[in-house]
Amino acid sequence: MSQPTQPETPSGVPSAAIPKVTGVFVIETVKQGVKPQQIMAVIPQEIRTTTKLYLEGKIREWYSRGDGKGIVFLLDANTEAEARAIMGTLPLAKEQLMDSQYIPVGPLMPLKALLGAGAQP
Amino acid sequence: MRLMIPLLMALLPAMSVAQAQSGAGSGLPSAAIPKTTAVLVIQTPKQGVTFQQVMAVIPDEIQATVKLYLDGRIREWYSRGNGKGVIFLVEAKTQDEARALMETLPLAKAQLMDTEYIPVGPLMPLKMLNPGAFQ
Repeated sequence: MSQPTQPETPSGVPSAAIPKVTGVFVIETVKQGVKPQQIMAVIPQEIRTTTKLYLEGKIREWYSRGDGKGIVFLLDANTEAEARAIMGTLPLAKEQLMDSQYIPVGPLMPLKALLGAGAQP
Repeated sequence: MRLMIPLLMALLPAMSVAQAQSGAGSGLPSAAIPKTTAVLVIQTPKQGVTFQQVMAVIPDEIQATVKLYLDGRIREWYSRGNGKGVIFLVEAKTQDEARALMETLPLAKAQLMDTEYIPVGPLMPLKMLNPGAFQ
């Protein structure tokens, strides 16, 4: 029962559980075998481009991972494809130094239950 | 910014020393490691768990989750776009602290979810925009 707009929707997940996507988490981790020096060579340009994306409103939140091995961004994007297009403009992505995970997110749908039984999707 | 590049190159040896001293054992410069200010928690139903199994626990889960939110422990909460799980940004300084918090929740107690914890903190490379921070 996958839908064109939610291709990843597996069967068994009712549509009421599926949120409107309002952001996309991007978790980037340095690929196995990549050395800090390889990263550092790209970092000056990476910072410029990242800050520019932030100033354009594309990066809503940005964090370093606590282990120092990468970053977590929350992007202002409505689809994973849109988030990938944004990240694809960054030098570290272009150099293929990072593994990336994309997780679209939206409002916490179970909270709908707080509205009571009368609430319709 | 152009001036930053020679500065960064000059810093590399210092960072190598720092990495030797960081004790992280990961080869990372300690300058790359942030103060942990929160923990991202990614929960997905375990393989084979049905939506109905999850739904049976959801009323209690919502109560407990909203309580944690009202206690100031959950800074952000999201459903995953595919409907399979949640992402929380938890107010915690360590992964253990976040885990202890999450394990108070009914879904975790029922062992229905796979959970990934990612401690996060300030975006450290931005330090390079501020040369004074290196002194």
